[in-house]
Amino acid sequence: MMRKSDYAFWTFVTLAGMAGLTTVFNVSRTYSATSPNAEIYKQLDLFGDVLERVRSDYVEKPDDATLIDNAINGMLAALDPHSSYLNAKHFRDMQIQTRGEFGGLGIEVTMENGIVKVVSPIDETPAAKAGLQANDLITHLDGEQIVGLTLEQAVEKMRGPVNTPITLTIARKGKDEPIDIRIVRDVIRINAVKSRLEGDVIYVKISTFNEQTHANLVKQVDALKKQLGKAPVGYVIDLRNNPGGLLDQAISVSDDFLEKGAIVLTKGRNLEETQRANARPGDITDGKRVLVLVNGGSASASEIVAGALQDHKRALILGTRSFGKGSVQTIIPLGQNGAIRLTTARYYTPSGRSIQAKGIDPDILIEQELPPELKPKTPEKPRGEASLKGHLKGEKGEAGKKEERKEESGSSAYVPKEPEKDMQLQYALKLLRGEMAEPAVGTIVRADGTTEMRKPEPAVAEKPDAKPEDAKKDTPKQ
Amino acid sequence: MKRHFVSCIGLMAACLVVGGSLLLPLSAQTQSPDDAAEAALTPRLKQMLNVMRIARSRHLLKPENPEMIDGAIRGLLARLDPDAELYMPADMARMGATARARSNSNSIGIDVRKLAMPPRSTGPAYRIVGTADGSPAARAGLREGDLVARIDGIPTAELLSADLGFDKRPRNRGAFEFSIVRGPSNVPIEIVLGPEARRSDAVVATPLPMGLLLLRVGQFDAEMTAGLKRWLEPTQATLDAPLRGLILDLRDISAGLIDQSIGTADLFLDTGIIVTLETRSAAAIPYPAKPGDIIAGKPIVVLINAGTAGAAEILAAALQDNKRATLIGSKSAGLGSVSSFVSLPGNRGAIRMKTGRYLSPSGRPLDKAGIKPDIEIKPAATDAAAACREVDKPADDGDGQCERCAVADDTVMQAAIAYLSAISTATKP
Repeated sequence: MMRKSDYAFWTFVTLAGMAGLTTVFNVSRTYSATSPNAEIYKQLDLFGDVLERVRSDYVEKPDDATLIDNAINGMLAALDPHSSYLNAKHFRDMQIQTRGEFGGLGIEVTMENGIVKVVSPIDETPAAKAGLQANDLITHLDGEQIVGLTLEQAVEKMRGPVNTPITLTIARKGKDEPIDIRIVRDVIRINAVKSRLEGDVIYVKISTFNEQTHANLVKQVDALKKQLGKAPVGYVIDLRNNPGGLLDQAISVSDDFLEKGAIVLTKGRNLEETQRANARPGDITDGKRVLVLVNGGSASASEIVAGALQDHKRALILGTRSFGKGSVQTIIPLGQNGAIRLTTARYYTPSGRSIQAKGIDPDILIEQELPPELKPKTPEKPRGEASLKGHLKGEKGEAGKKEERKEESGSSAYVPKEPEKDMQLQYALKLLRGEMAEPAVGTIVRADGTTEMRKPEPAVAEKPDAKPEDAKKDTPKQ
Repeated sequence: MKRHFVSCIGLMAACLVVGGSLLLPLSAQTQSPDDAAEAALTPRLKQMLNVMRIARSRHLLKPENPEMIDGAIRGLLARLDPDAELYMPADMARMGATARARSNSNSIGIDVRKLAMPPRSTGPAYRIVGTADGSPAARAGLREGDLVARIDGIPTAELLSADLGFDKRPRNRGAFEFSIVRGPSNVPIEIVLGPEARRSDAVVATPLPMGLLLLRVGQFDAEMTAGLKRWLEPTQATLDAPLRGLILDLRDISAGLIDQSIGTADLFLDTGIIVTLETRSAAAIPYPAKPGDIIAGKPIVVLINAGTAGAAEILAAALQDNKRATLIGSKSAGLGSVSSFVSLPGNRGAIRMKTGRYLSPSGRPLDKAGIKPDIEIKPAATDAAAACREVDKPADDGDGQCERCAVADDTVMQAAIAYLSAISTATKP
């Protein structure tokens, strides 16, 4: 399944054995009491009645499979915002996403006026080798018109088993005749990691945590180190707008920067969902300084990485408060009927914090200047986990730690396209290059460039620091 | 029997692992009825049961069965049809109380339909399909297409349609606070509306030059057909010439009684079918016209727009399909279905869903599609930011209220007058 932490492999096997036993005991005990199953059947009966009524009396004859799909989805959606039902097709899509690879052509596409338009062919893929170009319009697939299909349906048709051929009919600017291009599908990997040198700084953007993320990260950092030819002054790990992904990948990525200590603790109802992952020796940055960028779009696995590196003081976290999704979902396959995505655990950072409905507060809060068209007309709070209806309530941290923080909704998820305008990135680069004084943890950098100190939280109110006059200074001293 | 035998063997193996033969008889006894119950389930319900069991044993919050079944029913209904709702016994009791408190003479004059919404959405759940002429809502400029985000501060996503009770609040309940979203703007418009006595003038007749008569139907209430009949006779006498044509203005009219649209259509139809009600549980019911045409075949123009909904669409389609009237304006709303409460056995509440739909005389379903006018004239002001309904304009005294637009300023109306004048001139002997 989705947990592959070999760190805790033996513990896991032992616990799983115990869990199995416990289950068996429970089973015999419940059967000897009055059967709770009778109640399940009574409830199912009610559902069955509704189903019958809808089948017989609804104005149009409904499709049975769709009814049940919707019912199962409604049942799970009622539990929390992250539990859901994946029918066979959605399950396949999700597997493609988490696996990070699929059989296909290797083009990014959009839809324009009912026709599929190539945004760009991806390097080294069959589409690029066959000479497909940006702005090509795909009109037919294997001789069949695309008009009438949704983008999703067209993409579905272009994907398929590796080594199978497909013929695309292309309209290209400057050519009067349509062009037929035959392409043989190959394995296409969704690149979750993009990286580049920013002078002496290695910049790595992780856009999702799929099965390739950790391997991609290691490979690309290695390549950039070689390209630079000397030790970089530091690393920027950009987790902004990264919605998360696989737990084991979040653990591996955190481990890439940590030598020892806990990375994350997950705690569920059953022992198999309750685990602690620890770091192993080894740091891909050789102990160089790491800055992590987060914003309101950084969720889940991103928050695990940011939280672990923050708690170990391994990285300074820059940006705006993260989304605040502190729960773990397990994908449970249902054979031919797709799968269910079920919230099975909460996770805690190494210091025992739960970020559920709170998010990770950056050490240095840096606001982006919003372009005029994005500035809200009324001050509206950006959405985060705390704004989701029926979200899990935040709870006090592990180990009796006092956490008095209130639930807070997310922050802005805006990142400018041009790196020069990206205030969060520019701040990180300046800091790594030593072009500015070290800011104190808790500094807030406003969009207009002024800085102030975060107001102390009530729980630590006795610390008499951060006078308002000092806070106005550009770069507070430590 | 074979089944039981097999399951006992299976259990024995399990029991041997835990090491207690003591458990065997107990398990074997209580297992059988459940086994039988499970065997009786359809494969689809078995799939549900399977998911329920997994969720119960593994979901972080230890969910209970009723909560999950409730979610399942809501999920099933919500995707079927936005109007579909589950009423639990408690909801039914509350509805009964609301109905008893109903006072038909008071209303704010608003008609809404539920929107299709993703689960857990907290956004506006209701769309206004129309407001009654001269009602507090129409005067405030509320109109077709406005979304109702909150009522009295409560997000509408949390309200069952039976709870809205726009027409069911007794006078002493006081004013409603509405939060409305209009057009692309996400800034809500806050409006306070107090229910008022319903106006008795369901039909207003206005004589126009050249022997034309304008009938504005403000609402399809119980008085409508009778009122129309009562008006026609005396008003015809005030015309400057013998009646040469009739304009029936059905723009921005929604809520109403179907028997009134049938009755009104029948006034002008000598023969033919007015409308047919189709359900899946029974044979289709046609409503034929009785002989007689109150204006003896004189030409009729019916004005429609996107605010023409429900009962008004049935009337318009009946006259269009029987070639009794020419429709001018813009496409109608497409609300031609019947929703009803279907109760669940054993006092377990009811579901409200679409159970029937109306077909026009030529067999077109009136739901969803809407009626296309014979002559399309887009309203002059399609501006989403306009302060009033299409048939209204801001009042001259500038107090922010809306009033009926004058005939001379009404482009669709002028087109209708021109059309009728042309055909009545052409057919002159």
